[in-house]
Amino acid sequence: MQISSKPKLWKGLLLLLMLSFYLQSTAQQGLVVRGTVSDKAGPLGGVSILISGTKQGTKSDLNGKYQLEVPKGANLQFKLIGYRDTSVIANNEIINIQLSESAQVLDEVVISYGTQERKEVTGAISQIEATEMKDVPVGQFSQKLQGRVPGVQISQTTGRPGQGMAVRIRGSASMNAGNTPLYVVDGQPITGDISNINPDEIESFSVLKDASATSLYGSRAANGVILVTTKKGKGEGITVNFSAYGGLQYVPERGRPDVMNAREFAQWQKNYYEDKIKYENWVNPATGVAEIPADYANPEQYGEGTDWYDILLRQAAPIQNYSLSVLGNSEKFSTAVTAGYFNQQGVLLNTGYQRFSFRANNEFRPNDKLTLGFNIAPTLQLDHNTLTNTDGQRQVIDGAFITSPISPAINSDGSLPLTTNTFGMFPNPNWYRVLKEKLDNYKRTRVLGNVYGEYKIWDGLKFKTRADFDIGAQTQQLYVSSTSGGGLFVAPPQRATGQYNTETYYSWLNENVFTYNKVVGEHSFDLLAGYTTQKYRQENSAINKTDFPNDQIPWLSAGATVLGAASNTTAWSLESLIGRLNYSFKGRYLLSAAMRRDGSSRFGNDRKWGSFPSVSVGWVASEENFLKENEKISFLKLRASYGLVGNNNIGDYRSIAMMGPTNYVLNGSLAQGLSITSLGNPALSWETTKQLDIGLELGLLDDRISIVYDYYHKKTDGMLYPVELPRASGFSSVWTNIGAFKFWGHEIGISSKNLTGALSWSTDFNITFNRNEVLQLGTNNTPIGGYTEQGDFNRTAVGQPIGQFFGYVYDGVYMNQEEFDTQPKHKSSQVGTVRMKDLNGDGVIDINDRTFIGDPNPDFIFGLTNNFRYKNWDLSFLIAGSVGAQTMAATYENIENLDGVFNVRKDMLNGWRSPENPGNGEVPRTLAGTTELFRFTNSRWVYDATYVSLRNVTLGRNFEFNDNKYIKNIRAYLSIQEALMLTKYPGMNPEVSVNAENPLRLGIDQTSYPVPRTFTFGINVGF
Amino acid sequence: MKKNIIWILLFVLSLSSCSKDFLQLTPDSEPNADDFYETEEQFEQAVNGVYQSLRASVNESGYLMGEMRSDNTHYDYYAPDRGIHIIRRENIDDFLDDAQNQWTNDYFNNSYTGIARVNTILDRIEMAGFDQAAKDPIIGEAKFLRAFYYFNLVRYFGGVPLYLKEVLKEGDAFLPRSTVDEVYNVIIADLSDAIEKLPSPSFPQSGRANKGAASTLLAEVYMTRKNFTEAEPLLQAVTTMGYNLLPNYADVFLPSNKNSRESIFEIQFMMGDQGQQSMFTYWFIPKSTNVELITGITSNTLNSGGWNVPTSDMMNTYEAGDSRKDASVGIAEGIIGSDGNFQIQAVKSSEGYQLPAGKIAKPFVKKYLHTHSREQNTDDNWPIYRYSDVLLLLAECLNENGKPGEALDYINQVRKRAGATLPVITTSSKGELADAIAHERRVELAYENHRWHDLVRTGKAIEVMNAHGEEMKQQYNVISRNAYHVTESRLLFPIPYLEMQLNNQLTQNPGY
Repeated sequence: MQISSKPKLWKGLLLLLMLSFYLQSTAQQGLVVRGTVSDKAGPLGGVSILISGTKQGTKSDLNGKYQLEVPKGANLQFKLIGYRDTSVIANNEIINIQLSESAQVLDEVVISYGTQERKEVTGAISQIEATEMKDVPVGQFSQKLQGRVPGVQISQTTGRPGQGMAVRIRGSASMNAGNTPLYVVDGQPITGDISNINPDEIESFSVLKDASATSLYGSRAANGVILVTTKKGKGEGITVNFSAYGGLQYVPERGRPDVMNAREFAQWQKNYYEDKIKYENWVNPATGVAEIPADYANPEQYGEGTDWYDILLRQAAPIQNYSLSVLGNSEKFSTAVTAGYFNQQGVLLNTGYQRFSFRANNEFRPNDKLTLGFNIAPTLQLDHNTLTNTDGQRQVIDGAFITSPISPAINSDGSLPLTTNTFGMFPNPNWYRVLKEKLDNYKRTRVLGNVYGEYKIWDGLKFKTRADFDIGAQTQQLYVSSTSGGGLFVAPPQRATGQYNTETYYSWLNENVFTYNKVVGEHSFDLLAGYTTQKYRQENSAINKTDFPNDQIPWLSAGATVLGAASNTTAWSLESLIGRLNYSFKGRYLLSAAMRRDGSSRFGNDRKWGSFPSVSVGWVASEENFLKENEKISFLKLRASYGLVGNNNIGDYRSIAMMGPTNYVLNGSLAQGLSITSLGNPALSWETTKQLDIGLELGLLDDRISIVYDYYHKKTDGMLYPVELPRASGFSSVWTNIGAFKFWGHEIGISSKNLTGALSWSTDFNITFNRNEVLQLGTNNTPIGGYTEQGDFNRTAVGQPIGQFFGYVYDGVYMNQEEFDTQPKHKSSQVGTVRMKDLNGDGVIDINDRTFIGDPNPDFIFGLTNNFRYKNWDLSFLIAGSVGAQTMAATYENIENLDGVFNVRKDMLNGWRSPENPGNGEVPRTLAGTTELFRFTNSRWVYDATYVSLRNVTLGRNFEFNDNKYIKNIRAYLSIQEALMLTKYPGMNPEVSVNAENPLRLGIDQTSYPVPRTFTFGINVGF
Repeated sequence: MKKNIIWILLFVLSLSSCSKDFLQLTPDSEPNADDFYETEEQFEQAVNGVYQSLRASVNESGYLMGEMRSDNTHYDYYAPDRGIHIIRRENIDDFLDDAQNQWTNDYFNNSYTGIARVNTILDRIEMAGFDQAAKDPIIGEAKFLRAFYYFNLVRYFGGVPLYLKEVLKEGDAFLPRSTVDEVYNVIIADLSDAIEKLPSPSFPQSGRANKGAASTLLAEVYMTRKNFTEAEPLLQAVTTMGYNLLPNYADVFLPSNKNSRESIFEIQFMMGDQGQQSMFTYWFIPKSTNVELITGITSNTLNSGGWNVPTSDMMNTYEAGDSRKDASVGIAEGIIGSDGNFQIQAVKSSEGYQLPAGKIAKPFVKKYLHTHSREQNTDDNWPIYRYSDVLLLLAECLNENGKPGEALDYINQVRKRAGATLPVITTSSKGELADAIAHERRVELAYENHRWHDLVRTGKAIEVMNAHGEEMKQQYNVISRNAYHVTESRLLFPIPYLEMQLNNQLTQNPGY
C-alpha cells in the first residue's frame, strides 16, 4: 500500500480497521454469498449490499451480479435509492433478490424536512405518485390531482389555458389572508403560483393536512402544505424517456347560454314595444309615431341570426406536449434532466398558452460523508390573451351573451362591423372583433434553483445546509386597438391605448438543519433542529400610452402621449427556528413533537414572533400480538394529532399607516399633497389555527384493501381581516386580528385491488365532508358583504357557513289585480311585476327582506378511480363529483334584463303581458320603472351545482422490446379529458367561481372561459 | 469531529446575527405616516391633501344634491339604461332616494375623508418643531376646511357624528351623532379661529383659503342659523378686501379667469395628464353617441351625460335681457337616430331659441364648457363663493336686519352686471325684496350647487318643491306617481345604510 505520504493518524486508523476486519472474519464462520439483484425490469446495478451492523459490503455490477464474504447467519441489507430496502439472512451461497421500487410500494413518505417510513407516520398525509396520473393530458399538475386526494377540493373555476385551478385543503378559508396551500418544491417553499412547473418533472406529491404534518412550516401552514418532489436519478446507468401527446379540444354543447336567436329576439322586442305603446303611450322617437321599431317589426324575416357564443369558439383547438428526460445514477453522482414544451391553444379564438420548461437535478457524492446537490429549473410561459379579456362582467364572453343576435359579427362582404346593436340597445363593440384584435400578451420567466450540501458528522448525525433561489420576471404587453376598445355603451372607435407592465422578483432562502437518528434497543429517535431565513422582494413598473397613429404597431414607442407611468417595490422577510422529535418504541408506539418559531416582517412591531408547536401519537395495533395473527386485518394504525399553525398572507407593510399622493392645484400648477390612506395597526399578527386530527389506517386481506379515515376539527382565531369602520372615521377599514372560523370534517380514502390475476383491477375511492361556521367577526360581529342589492352576492355572518348567497327570495309574479292589492309590495311594484317574499312581515318589500338564499360549499365531494390491466392493455377512468353545493347564475342579472337592452334567455318570451295573457307566472312584465327589483340578487338565480363528472378515460397499450438495442419500451394511449359532465346546473361549469381566490365570495357565475373536452393520443418511449 | 460541529455552529450563528434589522422592513416606494408630519413642508403637503378631498364635494354628488334636488334642474330620461347607478341619481331628483343611494352616501363618506385629514394635521402639528408663525396659516386652512365639511354635512344630514381627533385605532372609529347645535358650535369655533389665523386675500389669488373665504363661510353659517346680526359685519368686511365683480358674467367662468378678483373660494382643477382635470361639462351635456358639436372633440356621452338639465321652470325664470341665460345654458338641437339615440345637429343659443319643426332641443348647462383638448379632461374650476354671492348674502342680511335701503345697492350691483337693461330693484317692502334677492340668487348662482341650500335656509323648500313636483309629473309621464312627496323629513338626506349597519350607536333620520 502506498500510503507513505499520508499523515500518521491515517495510517493508524487504517491499521485498526484492517485489524477489526481480521478479527471479525476469524471470529465467525465465513460464507461467500453471490447472486443477482434485479427489479421487475431486469438486472439492477449499483445496489449496495451491506452486512448489517458493519461497514462491510459491496455493490452489484452492471449485470446485477455480486459476491461477498459474510459470516453465516448475518443479516444482508440491499439498498438502492428509489427502491425499498430489503434484508435477507445469509444462510445460502446463492441469494437472488428482486427489489421493488419504493415509489410503488409507498414505503417512504415525503414529509416536511425529510422522509419517513409510512408505517411510522403520525400525521395526516396523502402521498400520490405522479405515475398514477401520467397519462392525464393537462397542463397543470393540480388538474391531475383533481378527485384523487381525500380532503382536497380542487375546482377548475375557468377553462383559461394554464390557469383557473382552485385548491383548498380541508375547506381552508381565511377572510383575506388567502386559502391556497403552501407549495414546497423539493424543500423550497414557493411564493405565488406554480403553474410554471411541468408535471412531467414531478415524481410525487405529498399533501400535508393536519397540524402535526404541517407545523414545521409554521406561520404559512394554515391552509395545508403540498410537497412536490421532482425526479431524481436512480437505478444504475442511464434511462432516457421521451413522451408526447397531442389532442384536440372542443367546447361541449351542454350548458351553452340559452339566449334567443334572431327571430325569437325580434319577437320579444316586438312584444316589448307593443306593451310600451299599450301601457306607456310610447312613440318611436325616430318617427314620432306609436309603431314598432323597424328592426323588430317583422320577426319572421330573421332566422337564427348570429350565435355570438359559438362564433367566439375555435373548434378542434390543438393541445400538445413533449417531454424528454434523462435519468442517470452511479455511485458518485446522480442526475435527472427534463426538458418540456407544452402548447395549449384556447377554445376561444386568439387565445393560448405555451410553456417551455427545463429542470436539472444533480447530486454528487464525492465520499461517503459528503453529498452536494445542484438543481435548477428555468421556465418560460407565454400567455396569449388569456389573462384579462375573457371572464367576468362586461368582458368578451359576457358580451356574447347579451349582444343582439340580429347584428352580424361578419358582414356579407367579409368585413367586420365595428359596433353591434339594434334599436334601443346600448352601443356594443363587435365582440368577435374585440377577441380577434385585442392584444394581451404575458411573458413569464422563472428560475427555481438550489444548492445544498449534506455532511455526515458521525453515525446518525447529519448537517445539511442549502441555499435556494426563485427569480421571476413578467411582462405584460397590452394593446387595445381603436376598433376593439371601449365596451358596453362605449362602442368603438375609441382612442387606442397601450400598456407595458413589468413585475420582477427574487426570493432567497437559507436553511441549516441538523438531523440525528439513534436506535437504542427498541427505542428509535429521530431529531431535527434547524434555522432558516428567507427574503422576498418584488419590483413593478407600468407604462400606459395613447394617441397611436394607427393600429399597426402595438408597441409603446408608437404612442404619442403617456397616460401614466409608475414603479414600486415591496418586500418581506422571514426568520425561523425549527425542531422536531420523532420517537418510536417497538415500532408500534409512535410519538412526534414539532415546533417552528417564525419571525415575520409583516407583523407589527409588538408582535414579530410566533410559535407553532404540534404533537402527535400513533399506535400500530396490528403489530400487537392479539392482531398479529389476524388473517383479515393486515395493518391497523390509530393516530391523533394536535397543533397550531399560522397564516401570514396579509400582504406587506399592513401594520404601518400608509400614505398616498393627494395632489392638488395651487397657483395654477401642481401642488404635491400627501395623506394617510390606510390605518396602521402595530399589534397586527398572524392568524392561528388550532387543529385536532384523529385518523385510522386499516389494511385488510393482506393489504388488498386499505382504508384511511380522518376526522379533523380546526378553529382559526385572530383571523386577519380589514374590520369595516364607519366611514365617518375617514377610513373604510383597519386590519385587525379579530375573527374566528370553525372547520370540521371527515375524509375517507379506500384503495382496493379487486383483481390481481391476468386481468387486474384496482379501485381508489375517496370522499370528503367539509363543514365550517363563522364564530366571530370583528368587535361587533358585523357581517361581511351583502350590503347592496346588486353585485354584492355573498354574505359571511356569525353562526353561518362562510360566504352564503344573500338576497331576496323570488316568489313569482303578481298575476292579477287581486294578488297585487292583497299582497306585500315593493315601491316599484305593479300588476305583472316580480314578487319577492316579505320576510319580515311588515307588508313592504324592501332591502330588509333579504336573507341567506344559498350555499356554495358542497355537502361532500368524492373521487373514484378505476384501473384495469390485461396483459399489455390498460384502461383507467376517473370520476369526480360534488354534491350539495349551489352556484349563483349571476349572469341572469343581464340575460333576464327586462329593459330591452340585452339579448335574454328564451324563457323571457313567457313574460306577463296582461291579465289575460299572464305568461308562465315566472317572468315579469317589462313596464318601465318596475324592472329593477327583478335584477336584484335573488333566489331565482341560485341553482344546485351537484355534479358527477367523468374527468378522464384512458386506454393504453405497452409494447416491450426486450431485444432491441435502442428502444426498451413504448406505451401508446388514447385519452378523453372532461369526457362527461352530469349536472342540473344550467351553465357550462358548475365549479365556476369568478372570485375563486376569495373564499368569502365563492360560487358566482358571471361567465367564464369554457372548460374544453379534450381528445388526445399520447406516446411514451423508453430508450 | 467536535471541531467540525463547532465550526458549523459558528457558521449558523453568524447567519442569524443580523436578525434584528432583517425583520424590520418598511415600504421603500410609498410614504408612510411614521416618517411624516414633522416639517413645515410636510404639513403644507398634508393640507394640500385636504384641499384635494374638496373635489369630491363637487363631483356628481355635488350637483345631484345641490341642484337636481332643487327646482333648477332635472335629468334627461334615458329609457335603455335602467342601471341602479342611473335610477339612484334620478331618485335624488324625484325625492325617492333611500339610505342605499350611492351618491348621497359618497357625499357623506368623502366629507369625512377630508375631516380625518384635518384632524391628523391638527393633532400632530402641536408636536412639530417649527415656528408657530408658520403653523398658524396651516391651522387656519385646516380649520376652515373642517368647518366647510361639517357645514355641508349638517345641512345635508343633520346632526352628524363629530370626529375632531385623529382616529388611530378601531376603538376611536365609532361615535354617536351629535346634535345640530353641537355641530354648529364646532363650525363657528373653527371658523372664528381660522379668520384670525388666515391672511387677507392678495391678488392674484393662489386658490388657498384666506380671511375672505373664512368670513364668507362663517356669514353663511350664521345666516343659516338666522343670526343675521353676526353675519352682516363679516360680509361688510369682505367688501373691503379688494374683491369686485368682473364686467362680463360669462367671463367669470373662463379658465383664464381662475381665482379672479370675483373669486372668494373655488375648487381648483387643471386639465392635462397629471390627474388634476375636471369633467363637469360631460355630465351636463346630452347623452349622445357623438357630442363633437358641443365639445369640439369626438366623444360618446351615453354613459356620462344627460344630468343637471335646466328645467323649463328654470328657463322661464330668466328675465328678458339677462345675459346670464345665454352664458349658463346652451341648446343642443337634433333628431333621434335609428338606434334610438339623440343625434346632435346644431348647438344654439338659449336666448330667444325657437324649436324648428321635426327637431328635438335639449338645453344643457354650459357654464363649465370651455375649450379643451381631450375628452373628459377639462380645465374648469368649480366656484364655491363668488363676490356676487357675498353681495347677495349681504343684501339679504341688511334686509333681514331692517335696512332694505342699504340692501338695494348690493342686489343692483349684481343685476347691473347681468344686463344693462334689467330693471333696477327699488322696492322697500321686506317681503318683496326677499323674493327679489331669492330670484337673483337663483339666477346668478344657478348650477353652482347653492339652490337647494337656499330653499332650505329660507324655509321655501317644501312649498316650492311640491309645486314643482306637480309641474314635473305633468310634463314627464315617466316620473313615478309617488315622486316629489316633499315633507319636512325630506329636507335631510339619510345616513348611509352601511354606516347604520356598522355603527349601532347611530340613529337614522326620520322618514328613511
